[in-house]
Amino acid sequence: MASSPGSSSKPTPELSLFHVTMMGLGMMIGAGVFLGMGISIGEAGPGGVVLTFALNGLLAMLTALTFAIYTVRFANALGWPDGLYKLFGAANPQSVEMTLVKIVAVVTAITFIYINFRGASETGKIGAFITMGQTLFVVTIGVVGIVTAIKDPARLANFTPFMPKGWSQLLVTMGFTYVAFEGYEVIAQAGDEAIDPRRNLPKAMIYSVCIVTTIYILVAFATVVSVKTGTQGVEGPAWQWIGSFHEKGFGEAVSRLMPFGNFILTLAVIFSSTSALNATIYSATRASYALGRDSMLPKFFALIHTAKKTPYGSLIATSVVILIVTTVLPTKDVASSASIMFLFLFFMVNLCVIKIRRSMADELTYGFLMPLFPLFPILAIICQIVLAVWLVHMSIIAWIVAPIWILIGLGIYWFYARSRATTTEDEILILEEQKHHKKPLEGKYPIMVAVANPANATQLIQSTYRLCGAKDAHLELIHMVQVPDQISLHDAEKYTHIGKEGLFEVMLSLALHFPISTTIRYCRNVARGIVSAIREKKTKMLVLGWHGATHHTLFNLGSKIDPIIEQSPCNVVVLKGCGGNKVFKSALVPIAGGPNGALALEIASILTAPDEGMVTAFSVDTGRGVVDFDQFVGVNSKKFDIPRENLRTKTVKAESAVKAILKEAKNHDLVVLGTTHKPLLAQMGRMSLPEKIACRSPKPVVMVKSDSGVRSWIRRWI
Amino acid sequence: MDKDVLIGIILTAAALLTVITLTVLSRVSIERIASDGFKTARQTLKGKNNGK
Repeated sequence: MASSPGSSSKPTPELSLFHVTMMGLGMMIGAGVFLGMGISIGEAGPGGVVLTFALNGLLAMLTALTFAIYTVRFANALGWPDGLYKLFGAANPQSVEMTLVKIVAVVTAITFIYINFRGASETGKIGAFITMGQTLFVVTIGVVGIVTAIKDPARLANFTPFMPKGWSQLLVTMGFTYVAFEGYEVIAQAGDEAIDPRRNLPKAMIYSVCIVTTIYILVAFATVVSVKTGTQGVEGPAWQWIGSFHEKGFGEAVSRLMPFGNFILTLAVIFSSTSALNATIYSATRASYALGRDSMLPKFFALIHTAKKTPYGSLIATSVVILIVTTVLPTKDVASSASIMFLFLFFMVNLCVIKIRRSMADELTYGFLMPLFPLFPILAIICQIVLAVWLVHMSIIAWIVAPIWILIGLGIYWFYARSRATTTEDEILILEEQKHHKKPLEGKYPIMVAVANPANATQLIQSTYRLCGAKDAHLELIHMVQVPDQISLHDAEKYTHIGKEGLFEVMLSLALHFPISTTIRYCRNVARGIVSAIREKKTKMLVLGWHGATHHTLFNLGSKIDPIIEQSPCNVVVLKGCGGNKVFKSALVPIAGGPNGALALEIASILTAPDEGMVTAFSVDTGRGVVDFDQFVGVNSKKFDIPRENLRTKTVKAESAVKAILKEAKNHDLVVLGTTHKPLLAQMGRMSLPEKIACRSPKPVVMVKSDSGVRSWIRRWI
Repeated sequence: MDKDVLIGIILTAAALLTVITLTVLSRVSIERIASDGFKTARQTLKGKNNGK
């Protein structure tokens, strides 16, 4: 009945937008709000509790937007502690009913494990039915609260004083109730089984957060107006009375609001706990299935049942963990660490979304593009750090348990998964790596030269020779193998001969003069492969060639060069038409005053003939303000040790800087330009000035980009 | 009306309104991208800046 793991065995897509939205809602509406409401009113006051849920909703939305971008690609295995919290959070381990509670818990868990085994459709339908029930209950409470306030407006006086213990308490209650907004990430696990996942999963995440925020605000409002001050048993302000019951405060308030309030609340708790468990089993099963499929866990986790199409291997493993935790471990301590793990998970997702957008923006196609990127992930990261730090005051055990749990996960990855993980199409493979020197490289300046083919190699040799000589460099030659998408990466080796010829050309000329290493790598995206190698080799300067012509509507210089210039964490030198045995007696360096201009001056002084070479620092006064040209040149000539007799300055007045520079370029052998330092978004619209000159100049051109570290990154990206 | 109540109402309304606005805008964006075809970040931004 069971099939072995393989690419042909996949769960079938059966879950609609409604099903996955309900799955997210089911995970969120539960003990977090039911138990947190009373305590929050006691801490933050009547107004503070409403504000707590409103602001937490906004924070949850920021992370949901991040999640929505990569829902189909990401999975997590941290869902089950939250479900346990919702299911057993209210149980007192010391109570005499403990055994009975545990038996009920085990029976309930087994029931939902079986439902999950039956298939995603059954899981989704039953989960949706249960979630509808619990949503209906909480909406009813909210509506009754509004009707009560309309009928008896005097109850609105319960909101005064608004924040009796001060506004600082808001942070306390936000951290405490954030668990009520954790759960929408379970939707990400449904990628394999959702219908039209790239459209439906992001929508489901955002819908569920919006719905739950509205419901929570309604319920918080209803809780505050549910009690009338001065009625039987209510002494003092209403918020104080509700708060005095702590986690039972919400139940007491609802029982005052409507008949059978406590009974309805009990039903709501049962519905929410069971739906959370259902979604939790589903989530944990799919996460471990995905890890098994990618060989990061044993293949047992990737087993799919032939008839039911459910991942029964991971379901068995999940069931064992859930049943052990249910019967043996103190759930209160496990649950307390769940919040930290969720915050850690959200924190990682927000970091990853920034990193992936930066390094794979030209490879991934997006079902949803976040507005004002990366503002929302950064805001969410800051808020999550604040909330996580605050949890130290709530539970020290949580800050011990959660890091241990995370370390276990890292240990499994490091000692088991890392060496076994299936190679994906997005990875970078090292096909060949050789050192052609025996001398130590300490103190040598690492320069990397990207060689595409023999013709490109000859373009690079002379300039590389000069750069290496001036910098006392160690040379790393890299060739990224370009393999068509339809060809398997295992066949990449067949495409290395052109690169080997190119590397040989460069080595033939330079190996006697400088220590050289070579590396041939494969990556579907050449730019990402080169940037990755730069990071790995700690390269300080990258040299590459550019053919000059560009007809691409998306890129300024080219689909490979643009991302390399944008992302390389080192100085970049792009050479156009610098091949052969050209002698550059005079170089033109247009200056705008930025860090790239300074590097351009240095490179120009290196590439021009040592004795008779002349560098002209050139500035165009277009009437829009000019940099302190003489000071800039003076400072940088000293910095880079450029002899003053080999450096002159020239300023002209002109309406068009491009025309003036191109006109002046005719009198020189070489043009050296700094790339634009405008933000990337501004460059998307139209080509910037340096790129225009580089494209139109009939003379050899060198474009340079200086690495200015974090400051440069922030300026370019935000 | 008490100053704290006024600030509280404004903050709550603003937070809820922002959540709803982001939901609506995201939905429009998701539907548009789904109908126009999935694109890379550069393709989408370039299209926007060119007024396409």
